[in-house]
Amino acid sequence: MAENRQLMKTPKSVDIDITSRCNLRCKYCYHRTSPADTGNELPTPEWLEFFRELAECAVMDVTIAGGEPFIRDDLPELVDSIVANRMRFSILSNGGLIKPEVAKHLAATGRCNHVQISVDGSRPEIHDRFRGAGAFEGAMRGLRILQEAGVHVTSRVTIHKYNIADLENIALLLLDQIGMGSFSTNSASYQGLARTHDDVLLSPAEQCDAMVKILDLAKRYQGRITSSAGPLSQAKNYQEMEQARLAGRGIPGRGFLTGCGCMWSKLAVRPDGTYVPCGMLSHIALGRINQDRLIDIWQNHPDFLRLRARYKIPLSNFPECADCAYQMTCTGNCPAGGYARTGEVYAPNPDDCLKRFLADDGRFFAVP
Amino acid sequence: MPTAIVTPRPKPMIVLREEFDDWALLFNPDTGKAVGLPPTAVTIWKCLTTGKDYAAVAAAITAEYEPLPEDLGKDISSFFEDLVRLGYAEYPA
Repeated sequence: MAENRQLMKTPKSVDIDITSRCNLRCKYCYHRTSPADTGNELPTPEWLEFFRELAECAVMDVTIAGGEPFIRDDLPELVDSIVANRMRFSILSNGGLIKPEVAKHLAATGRCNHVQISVDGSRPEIHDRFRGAGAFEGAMRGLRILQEAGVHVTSRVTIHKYNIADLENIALLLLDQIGMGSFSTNSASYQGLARTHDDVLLSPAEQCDAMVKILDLAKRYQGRITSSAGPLSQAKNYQEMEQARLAGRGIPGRGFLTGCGCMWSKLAVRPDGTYVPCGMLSHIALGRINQDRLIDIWQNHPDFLRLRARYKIPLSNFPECADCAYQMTCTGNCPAGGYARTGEVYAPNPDDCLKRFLADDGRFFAVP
Repeated sequence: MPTAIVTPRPKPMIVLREEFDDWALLFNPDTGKAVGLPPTAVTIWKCLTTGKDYAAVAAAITAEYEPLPEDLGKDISSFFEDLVRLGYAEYPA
């Protein structure tokens, strides 16, 4: 039986890709070449007007991403408006364009949840492999500038075949040497530029290697390494699914396309001001900021309502899931990943399919 | 003679996030913390944001809800204290 979900009156948070411009061209960038890679971006006054509407909707948090947010000279002004409109903010960055005066400005607001810097290696030759020459130096410089200014910093480590063996050194660098409280991990998914760079995606054997390493590190660092996607999440999720299967039970809330809860609490905006359900479902245009009211889009847009109703679609509807022993333990996983692979949002994501993973010689690992 | 109940004032940066079930969140963007409010507390908060004093708050609750607790004044006063203790409101200087 499908669970009963309650929609919030307005989104709790909003993700804004504030620009498509970037100083890097990472091989697994999900933004580049996606529909969110709009080229044109809104000028400052449009964003300031939008932030006032967010305040009227009692939105609590804004996440600023891109592209590279620090490429915009008006970032301090945008942040000031977020603060004046009684919200908090986070910024996702590659670190390379962060200047001390901007970092001090962010710190002085007292409203910055964190700035997340992508770090994929403990040395330039590993980090720069998919991000380009100079990216590591930029990330380290950005981290240092933010820390010196007193901004809370965190990192996202994208696991790929060339940094699996370096994960221990990355943890040492970020957690022990730099002194970060925690960092999160994922792996490249088949979106954006990754669609034309197959070498950035993990094979099942590499996934297994990554799971072993990252599970060991997560145990050693006791909660300071997190994930919501990628090998660490998959290892935990697959183990939970297997335990349930062995016990002959399902997992509550699963057996349907329940793979994403984001659209119940937040939505996203492209650089050109188009509302989309998620930065990774940027082909689903829901309207435009400052022309369509946020609350109307949130509560009434038919495409958004239909997307939220995914959770009522049973996995038994899909031929590939019909005879799967894990059917009632599975969520169908991320709709954006599924869309990128199959062109269909209302279907499971084959890239995270446990049955397929096992058929490709994937294994289970004990989760501490 | 009973002590008069002092009415606190909401801090200006505090955000009330209302939901469909008439509950709400009080969010303090300076700390990132939030607390859940039941419908009665939402009514009280709205009274405070429009500058009403304790007597007007009690009147609003009496008009809108039943049954009422035996000692409504004590409950309202206790909620006032919680708001101040948690940093969502302050007593006038």
